[in-house]
Amino acid sequence: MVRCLTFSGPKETRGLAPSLSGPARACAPALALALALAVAPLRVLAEGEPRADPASVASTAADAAASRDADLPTLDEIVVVGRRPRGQVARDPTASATVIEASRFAGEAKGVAELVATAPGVAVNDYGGLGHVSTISIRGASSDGVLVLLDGIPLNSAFGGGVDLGSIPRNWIERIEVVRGVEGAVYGAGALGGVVNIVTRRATASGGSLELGGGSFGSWTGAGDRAFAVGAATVRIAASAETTRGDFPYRWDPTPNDGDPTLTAEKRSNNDAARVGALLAVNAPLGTPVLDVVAQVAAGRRGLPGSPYSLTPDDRQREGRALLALRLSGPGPAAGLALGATASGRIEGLDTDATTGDARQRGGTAGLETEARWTHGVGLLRVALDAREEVVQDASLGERRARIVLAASAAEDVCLGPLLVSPAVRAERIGPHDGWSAKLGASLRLAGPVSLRASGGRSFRAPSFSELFLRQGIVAPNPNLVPEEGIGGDAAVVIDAGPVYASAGGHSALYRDLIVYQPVSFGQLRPFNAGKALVQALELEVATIPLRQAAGLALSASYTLLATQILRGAADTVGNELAHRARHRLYARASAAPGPVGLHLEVHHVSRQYADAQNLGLIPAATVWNAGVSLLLSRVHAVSLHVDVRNLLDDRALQDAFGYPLPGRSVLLLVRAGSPAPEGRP
Amino acid sequence: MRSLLAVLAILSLASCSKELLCPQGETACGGRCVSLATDTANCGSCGRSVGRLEVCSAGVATCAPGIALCGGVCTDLSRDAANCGSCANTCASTDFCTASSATCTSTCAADACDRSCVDRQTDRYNCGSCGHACAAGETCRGGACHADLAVACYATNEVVPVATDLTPAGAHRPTPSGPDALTVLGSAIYAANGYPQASVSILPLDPVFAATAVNLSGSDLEHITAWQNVLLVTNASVGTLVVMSPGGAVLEELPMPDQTFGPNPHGIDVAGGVAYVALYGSSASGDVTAGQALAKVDLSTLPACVAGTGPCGSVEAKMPLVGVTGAADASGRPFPSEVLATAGRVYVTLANLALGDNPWDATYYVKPAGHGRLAVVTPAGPGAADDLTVVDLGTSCGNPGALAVDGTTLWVACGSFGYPSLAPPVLLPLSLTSYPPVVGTPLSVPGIVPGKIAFCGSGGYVTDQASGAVVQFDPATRTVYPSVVVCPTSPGPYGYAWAADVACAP
Repeated sequence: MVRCLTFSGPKETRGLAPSLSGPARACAPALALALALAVAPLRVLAEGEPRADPASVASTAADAAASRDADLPTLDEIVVVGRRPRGQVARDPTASATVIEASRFAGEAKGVAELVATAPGVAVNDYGGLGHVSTISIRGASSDGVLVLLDGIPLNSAFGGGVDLGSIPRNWIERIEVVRGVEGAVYGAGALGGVVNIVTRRATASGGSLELGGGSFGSWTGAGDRAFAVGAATVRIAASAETTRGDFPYRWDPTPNDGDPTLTAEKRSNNDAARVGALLAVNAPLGTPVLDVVAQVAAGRRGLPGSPYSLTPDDRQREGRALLALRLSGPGPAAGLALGATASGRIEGLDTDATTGDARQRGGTAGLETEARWTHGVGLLRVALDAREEVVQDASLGERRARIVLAASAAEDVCLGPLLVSPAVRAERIGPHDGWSAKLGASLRLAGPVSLRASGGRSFRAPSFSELFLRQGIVAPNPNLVPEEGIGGDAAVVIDAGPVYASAGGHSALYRDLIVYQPVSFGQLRPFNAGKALVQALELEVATIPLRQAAGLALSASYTLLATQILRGAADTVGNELAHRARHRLYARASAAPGPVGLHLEVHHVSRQYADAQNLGLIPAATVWNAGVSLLLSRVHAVSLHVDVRNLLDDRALQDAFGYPLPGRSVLLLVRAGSPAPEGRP
Repeated sequence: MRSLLAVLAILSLASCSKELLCPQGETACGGRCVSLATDTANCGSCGRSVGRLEVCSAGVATCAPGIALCGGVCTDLSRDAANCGSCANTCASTDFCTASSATCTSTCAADACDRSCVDRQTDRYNCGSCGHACAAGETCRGGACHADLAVACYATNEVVPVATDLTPAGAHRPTPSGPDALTVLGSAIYAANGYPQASVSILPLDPVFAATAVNLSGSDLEHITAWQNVLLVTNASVGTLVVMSPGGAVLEELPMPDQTFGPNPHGIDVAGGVAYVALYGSSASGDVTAGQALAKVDLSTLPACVAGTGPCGSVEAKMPLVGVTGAADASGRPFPSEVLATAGRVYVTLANLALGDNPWDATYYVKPAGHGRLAVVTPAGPGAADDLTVVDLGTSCGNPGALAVDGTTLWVACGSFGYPSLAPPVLLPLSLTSYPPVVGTPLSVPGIVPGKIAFCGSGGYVTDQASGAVVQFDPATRTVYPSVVVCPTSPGPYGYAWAADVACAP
């Protein structure tokens, strides 16, 4: 058997050293995994199949370890303390990636944005916190340059502006895969900075859970899910709801220029938010092929409170989204060949009632993706064809806008002894814009627990409808825009040794023809392909269990050093840092689980950043501490009580990158019962 | 690993080339943008400098005005003892060439520089000190080189000095961000800069001295004015009035009424120790919680403030303009824009704007709803209610903005960027010899959207809101001269220019 670096090193603490040595690192399981993926249910398409997934190998070891510890009452934290830097991201096994297990943060009031922010290379832009808009930047790319997928289905709207991560109910999440780098060849155009794939909980044969909580600022949350069998099929239904008054106190400076640091106390108003969601997942074997169905609906409303210097007490927003995906997959007519087809559709709406004008935005997409995977000698070939139509309607666009997206892609994972090489190429037509993406990645096991991975690629992002056609207020359109282009490469060394996982890597990316809004007259902005920027970074990630037997102590951290440089522009901008790109980001977490009690403490630090390309306005550094306590009340029904405290030091002067106040200390009390079982448990 | 890092390094280096974008008509030379047509250090091409007695004209070095050509060499016949008065007319070896008469003299009653006899207070080639030559267009006054006017060029982040005929007069003065208002105090021009980061630039009139800038919060400073040796700056982004010392220190910052709802302070001027601040408010549709009012700020404590012993002022009252009879048409709102105090009264332009007609501006008050209005405030003194009278500016004036006074005539700039047919470009004179002021015959300034107005000497100047041009006019003869492009166009295909303000150098 040819030995080959496995696709990843899953990082469940219990499965670290023993499970990842030997056969689990050989090519055969990896290719078996790939084949399994090809015939696996829909949600496995992008992330992995438990039966053959290296992660599941780890889980098996974890299970064994769990059985040894069966007499120890534990909470989630003790079971899953580490991270899976590349685990289960089977679609691109050589990518720089982090997998964030939601169960690791069970009982904490963390939404998608906060979970994603624990990964290196990632910056989350909050617009007020507490149920309000959050967008993501990866490796310095704008939120438009990050693809966000929900169970593999793209959420990015053709309207543009990035995906609001706050629109995805946190209770649905099983894990989040953060893939960093120019990933257009694998995931499609638009992934200049990277990809975030949000994986909802899978349909298991049985089980259910219930979660109820309440906390500061009139915040309430409730969620439940149930899985059951219907004949040979398994069905999972889930629902969630959360609401907040959002009327938190904050401190601001009415006279920021006079040198007097005295702040004035205010209370946020028109800052309420509410959201409901429901999910249906079906996994139905139809003889040999398998049919997977995922249906999701989510809706929300929120106030738009405005900046402290210009409050908007009457501005409101409502939004809704429905998503349906059906996937049929099964073996092909030849040995080693697997076929799959996914039909998906998404509709969404966003209503804004604002002093600057009302907007009624409607959009949707429908498409079909077909895929063939062929496992051969030393590799796996994946060929796919995608076709979809994207439609957006908004008065500010002038008329209903639609475009056809066609894509053809091919990717190969070749196993050459300890070396895994993954070339990929994709050609796309997005409306009138043609483009291609390519990537070459490689993983090499050097010695023992040390491995090396590197990749490089290029891709593009087609202009959004808002950039092409939006005319509203001070913004004018530019229908002559061309796609942005990204070229990048990265390399990292990974040490995966028993209770320690560490990864250190660097990357460099060049973004060209960036679409930036420029003044074309006083008070008028228009987008142009005027930007060019260089982004370089160091990304570090470490997770360890130094004293697992002693109170289950677990430590993890991620750090990003991001250096950005504007390469094209006026004399007062060339050589400057990109706006809203902090140079340093640090996330660190310590947790312990002495007996039935779980504790955690974490810190987020974001260094100062500039507010403009001229690097004149400074956004100060911010450091936020969070903490939590959990108590297992009943092992029989897995009933646990969680207290989650955020912004522990009650910094009421905290602001987001745009000067909007963020909440001070908030407390959430949560009671959970039932499955999902903690990670690694049967 | 090492080789991969090397690949990364190569990739980084290969992609590091920087591309400097210059304003249209300018070229990157040595990392800065210059006009090869006029720059004396880069005349015609980068690094090609002109001689001391030469200027760069259309990219060619030529003798400066007043300089003669002797044997193919530019020669100063007023100061060159070897060519005094005429080519080859050499003064005696101990004599001087007198600049004022271009004759040889044995004694120099004024200042001697080498073998020329000059007045260093006024001599453009020896201004302040021997050998210190003023740039083309500058004049030497009081021993310092001065331009006659300064123009705020918003799009290219600079203040451009010009002579009275609007020709260039020395190097452009960079500002950290777009300057949109100017004032003069002492020996410096002060620029209030807006987007993207608010700041106040201190630009010494003599360009020998370096410019400095003070950052302020926000991104929109609307107005700056000097009064009793302090600067009053309206900070629209944060809704405050900033009181600054001439050195740039913030003495106090005063929140305007309804600060948290965006009062958007614009113009300001002082009458009787009270500052009147135009609170424009938001041009977006919605209720009028803040703005469309005047704020009265009592500055009687300013001396104590300057001495560091008390506050600079306090907000005394808010004078709502909504509902004031005649302040706006039924479909319009009385947005107050600029303020001018003279002869004991305060004049405020009211824009009288309605919602726009187009899909993209239908929720913004941008369209002239009817005639422009002028609010005339007669201060009643501390504690008493002022008298407020509204003057209809007539059919010829829509969307009134800037104000300036020339003698007893008040001039109002009228015009609209988006709706020129409803507000044609005119300058409207009003006689202040009677009360209320009487509207005169409008002076048409075709081809521009009138912006700010200044009177420098006998000349009037008005900027164009739609370009980098400035128009000179004679208020006495009512002559309008052709517009002159002063402000460069910003880089790229999206470039634009905006001559945001004009100020007279003392």
